[in-house]
Amino acid sequence: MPGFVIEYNRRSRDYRVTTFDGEGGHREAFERRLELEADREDTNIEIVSLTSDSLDTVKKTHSRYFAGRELLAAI
Amino acid sequence: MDRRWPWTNGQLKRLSAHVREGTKPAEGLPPYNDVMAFYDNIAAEVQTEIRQLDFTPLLGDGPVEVTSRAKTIDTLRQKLMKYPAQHIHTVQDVAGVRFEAEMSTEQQDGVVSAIAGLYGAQPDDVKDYREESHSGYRAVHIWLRLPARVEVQVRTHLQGLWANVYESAADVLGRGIRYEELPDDESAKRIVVGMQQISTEQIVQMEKNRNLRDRLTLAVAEGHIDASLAPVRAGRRSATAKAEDKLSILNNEYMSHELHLRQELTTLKEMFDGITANGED
Repeated sequence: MPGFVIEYNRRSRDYRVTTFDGEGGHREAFERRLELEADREDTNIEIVSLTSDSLDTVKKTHSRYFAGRELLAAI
Repeated sequence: MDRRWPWTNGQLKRLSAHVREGTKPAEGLPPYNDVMAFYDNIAAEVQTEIRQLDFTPLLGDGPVEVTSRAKTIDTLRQKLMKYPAQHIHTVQDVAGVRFEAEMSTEQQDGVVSAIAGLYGAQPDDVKDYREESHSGYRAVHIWLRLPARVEVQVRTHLQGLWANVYESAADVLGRGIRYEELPDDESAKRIVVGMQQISTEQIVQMEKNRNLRDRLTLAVAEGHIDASLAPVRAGRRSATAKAEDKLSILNNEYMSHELHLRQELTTLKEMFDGITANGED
């Protein structure tokens, strides 16, 4: 199932989404989450990996992560 | 996936202490990454199994949204610090699945029964926070033991919307508002209490209205008109007409209230998001 890594800045609300498609996508997403978590320097940045059939679904069930600006570069 | 639990409770207890203190796990303990991957996989597996259930007879063709995740390091640490007697393997929601759909609370009961039945969950494993809310949070949770614990959250769209807005409020007013705490500032306190009332009063009333509307819709469709809707001496035709009139009014009222409430919640969310985005926190 696809997986989505969200890097969300609790202060600025900026966020970045990385999508991992395919059957094993959620496992790749989780590995990426762990890497980002280990390298994180700013504790205001929340790093989560979510498993779902689509990003649209994630945007509905976890809408709080998507209120700010979407960034393409690292936050 | 292999559902055998690969670690002892003692190992996880010691690992929990390291997570709580933010220290590197000692030699011989299971790696944090492996433990969390186990939880993430079991959550995804439960999500897949729930997704394979056919909810069409219960919910019609409307979309069903299901997402899973393993707790983040921050929320896991917060929980372990808040509850020192707990350990990773005793925290119920390290693995979590969220189910949301456009549904009434009666349909929500049906969804809960279907998921609980799939895993043989007992009545005590179903935590109904709709009547006994936690800081205004309302939903139904199902606690599974597979053997790792998994929490399945079943929410209507309105319950889910409120919860997400409240999370945004917590980012601004302090995460403690999720745990029955109130801000010291009087204005902030009023906002929090007002938000909780939206959930426990307005949304509750809307859910009752929706159930009433749905029951009346069914009664009209099946020709079972409640005697209270029309005098006994009235002919069947007039009783049906009265029921249809009442249904139309109920429906319009419900749609109007729901639209208003969604707008109200969206405005609140935009306000909280704007405060943080402007750096006023």
